[in-house]
Amino acid sequence: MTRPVEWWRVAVWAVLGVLAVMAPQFLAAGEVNRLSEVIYISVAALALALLTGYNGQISLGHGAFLGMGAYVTMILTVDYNVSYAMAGLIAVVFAFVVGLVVGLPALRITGIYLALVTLALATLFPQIVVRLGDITGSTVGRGLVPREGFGDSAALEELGRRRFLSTEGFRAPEWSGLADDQWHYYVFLVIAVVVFLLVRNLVGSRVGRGLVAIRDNETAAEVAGVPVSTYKVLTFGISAGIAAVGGWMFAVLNNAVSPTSFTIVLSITLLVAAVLGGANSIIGPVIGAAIIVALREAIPTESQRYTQVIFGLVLILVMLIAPGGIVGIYRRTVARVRQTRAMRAAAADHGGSPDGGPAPDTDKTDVTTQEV
Amino acid sequence: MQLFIQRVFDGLQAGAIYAILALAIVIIFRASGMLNFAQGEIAMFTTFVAWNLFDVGLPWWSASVASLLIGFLVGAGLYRLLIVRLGGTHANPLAVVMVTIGLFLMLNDGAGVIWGTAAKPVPRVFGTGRVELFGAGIAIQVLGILAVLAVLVVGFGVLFQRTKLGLALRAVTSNQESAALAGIKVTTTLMIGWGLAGAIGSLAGTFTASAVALDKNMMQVVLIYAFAAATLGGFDSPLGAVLGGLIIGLVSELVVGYVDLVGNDLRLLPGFALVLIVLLVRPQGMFGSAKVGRA
Amino acid sequence: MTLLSVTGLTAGYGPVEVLTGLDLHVDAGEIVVVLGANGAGKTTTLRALSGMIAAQGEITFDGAAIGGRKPEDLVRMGISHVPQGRGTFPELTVEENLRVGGFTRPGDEVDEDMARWFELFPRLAERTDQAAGSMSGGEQQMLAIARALMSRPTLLLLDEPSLGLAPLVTRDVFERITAVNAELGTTVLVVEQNANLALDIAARGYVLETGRIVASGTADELRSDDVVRRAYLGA
Repeated sequence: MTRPVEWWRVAVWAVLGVLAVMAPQFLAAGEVNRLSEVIYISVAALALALLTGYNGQISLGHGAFLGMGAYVTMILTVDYNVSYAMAGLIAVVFAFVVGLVVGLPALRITGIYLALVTLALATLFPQIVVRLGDITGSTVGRGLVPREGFGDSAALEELGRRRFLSTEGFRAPEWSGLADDQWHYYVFLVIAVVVFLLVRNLVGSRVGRGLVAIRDNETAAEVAGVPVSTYKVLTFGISAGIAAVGGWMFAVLNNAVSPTSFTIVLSITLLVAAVLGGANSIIGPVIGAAIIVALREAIPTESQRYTQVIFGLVLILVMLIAPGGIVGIYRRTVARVRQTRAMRAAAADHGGSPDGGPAPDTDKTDVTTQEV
Repeated sequence: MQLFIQRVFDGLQAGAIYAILALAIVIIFRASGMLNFAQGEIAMFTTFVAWNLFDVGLPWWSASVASLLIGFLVGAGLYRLLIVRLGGTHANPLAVVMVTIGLFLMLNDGAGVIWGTAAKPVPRVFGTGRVELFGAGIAIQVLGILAVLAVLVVGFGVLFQRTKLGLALRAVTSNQESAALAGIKVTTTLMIGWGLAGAIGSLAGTFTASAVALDKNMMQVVLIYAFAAATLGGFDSPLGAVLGGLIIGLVSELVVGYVDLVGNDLRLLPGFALVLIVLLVRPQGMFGSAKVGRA
Repeated sequence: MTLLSVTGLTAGYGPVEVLTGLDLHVDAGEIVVVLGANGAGKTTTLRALSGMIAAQGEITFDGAAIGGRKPEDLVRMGISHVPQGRGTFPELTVEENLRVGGFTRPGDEVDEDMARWFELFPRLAERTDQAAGSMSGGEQQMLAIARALMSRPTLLLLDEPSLGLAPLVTRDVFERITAVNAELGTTVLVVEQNANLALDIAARGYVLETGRIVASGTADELRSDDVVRRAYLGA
């Protein structure tokens, strides 16, 4: 069902859209790369939002799925000369399958096992990568030799000679007239918008309502005819696949992968981004990702070591104060404003004074009726 | 034969550490129905504090005891200050999990900030002596750890079955509402439960540090093993957790040692394979009650 | 003398207000019943009285104002609440259940009382080491009442003791309640849907509908009231 679209909402999106498109023209390469970073983190955070915010399953291992996407992309493009598009597709399917494999057994047993299995996955992913050293480049990782030359360390030189080909990474095509960083940004932007729209449609559809029903009360959903097991496993797989899209972007952006990029810390950071922005919303992950990246930049270099401490603190504070994240605060405010307006109107009709009442609990309201 | 005995005791040492941490996990699971994902990091942090005290002159023995107390305080504090504010574990399980994860991150990075990222050697509580046992030289430290585990098991058995506090803990676990209606101070009781778990966890931290080295990431894999042990044993069975830990430790060590295909890199495999098999056959673990088995 | 006095009790869950200004009182030694259909607010009333939920209004017990106190404190003041659905500790044995009930009392009193309740509820005596969760509904109800009595309360709050029990079993339960009241003088406030049995044992009663008291009087008065008869006694 479509609803009459409010003009101001269209205006806001239009302005944001224009800004997003114009941004690279005015920003330096480094800053554009930061924006690209926001994009890939928000995609991965969206994956988490879909899984946890809308479907109520918890994953502590999305950093691993992102890592999978990045590694598969790297290996395929560098070793096997696969095109970036193809590599991305394969990476997503790979992560999707792993997601199914992980999500399936967890169904038979209590929900906590999913949390544990994903925790194990996240903790062990770097070790597994090292174990598969031949393909993955072990602790040194995989990467491309940048055109400017890389050869500081002897090990890298050696690996470069043995494994790194002189592929040039995901370069901007001639016809675009763009620099590499700008090209990356626009490609990411398009992909991200597509992914976000797809997820938005999914969430607003009948299937999406089923997912939310599972989140709120699994037994009731089952009784109401929702195919709980199928939905949960598929959601997990899809969520893993979306995270792998973020991984593909990571590989494109950084031109290098190593085990230390994908530790449990990354998984938790993604969680923080999703929760901070608002896990049961589409826009929330973007807000969260933006804040995370901004925080990282804002913290002065001497204090960089405190970054994770701050992120952890943020997660705790959000849970204590505003579990719905920033979007949750926005929704609560909107609801309260609407309620006050409605009561004033009703009071005007009855000639009495409006009765103060508590705001409805919008953090758990049926999210499919929310526009954001 | 000598090598075999050596391996058995190595496996038991690792297994005992998993068992101790698993015990802490099970206590909180029984009391509050949830998993404290920060359990390992709390243990790591208290061990660092102990090292710090040791570094400024306190004997290691006293420092370790101090870390026990700190573990208790952190556990109790975590419950009282954060969990209670969230409305308890039953009202908001997802939020509680998130909070423990946030704490995980804070403690992990915090330890790095305070004490740096270089691994620190740490003495052994039970010294470096060895003893002849079944033809092999077994470190007294290993025997000491096993002894501590035994004391914990017996101690908790006595606590839960024969003391008023234990009865209160079991009542709160069984039916929190009715416990309050019977006059039990629920928040205080749970605080003590979480505190005990924190204290036990710090033991696991101390022993892990002695076995390898003290570093801020040392407990992450131990936590995974401890969860595996609790899964194997049944999340609401302390005895199960202990046996699960010992079994996983033994199996990992022996399979890695004797099955060439499984090299040291795949050390994790046997334990996890075992857990998976048991789960497929008996979802609630070896000793878990039926309600653990299905969501 | 009035043991419990409630004026203007308002309580609810979050934004939903269930009780909208209740007035009632219970005199020492009485059995008073609050009748009401599902959703009338009976359980909410008891939960407000035992401190399990927040409530506004005046609640005076034994001369002291008790609004806002926590359940743990109210037990020590002499109020004991048997919640809806029994509220036993399923994993604990019968004996342990009783011991928990006597948590706030010194050891020798606990032993004394356990002996007494085993006498009054012989079915429990037969099953001291049995896990409470494996007993029948009626046995669990007896256990729940015995557990509540272990704290030697002055006021016993019972939430729908007949729920899910067969008629004969319910009659048995109600007989015990009467016996306890007669022998110990324990004041009882029971909320019930089963009006027939409840009015048999009570001296006075109230009728609760959608959060308000709509009728009150002695048991006889209520039994002969037409409205009550039609709604609750199926006459």
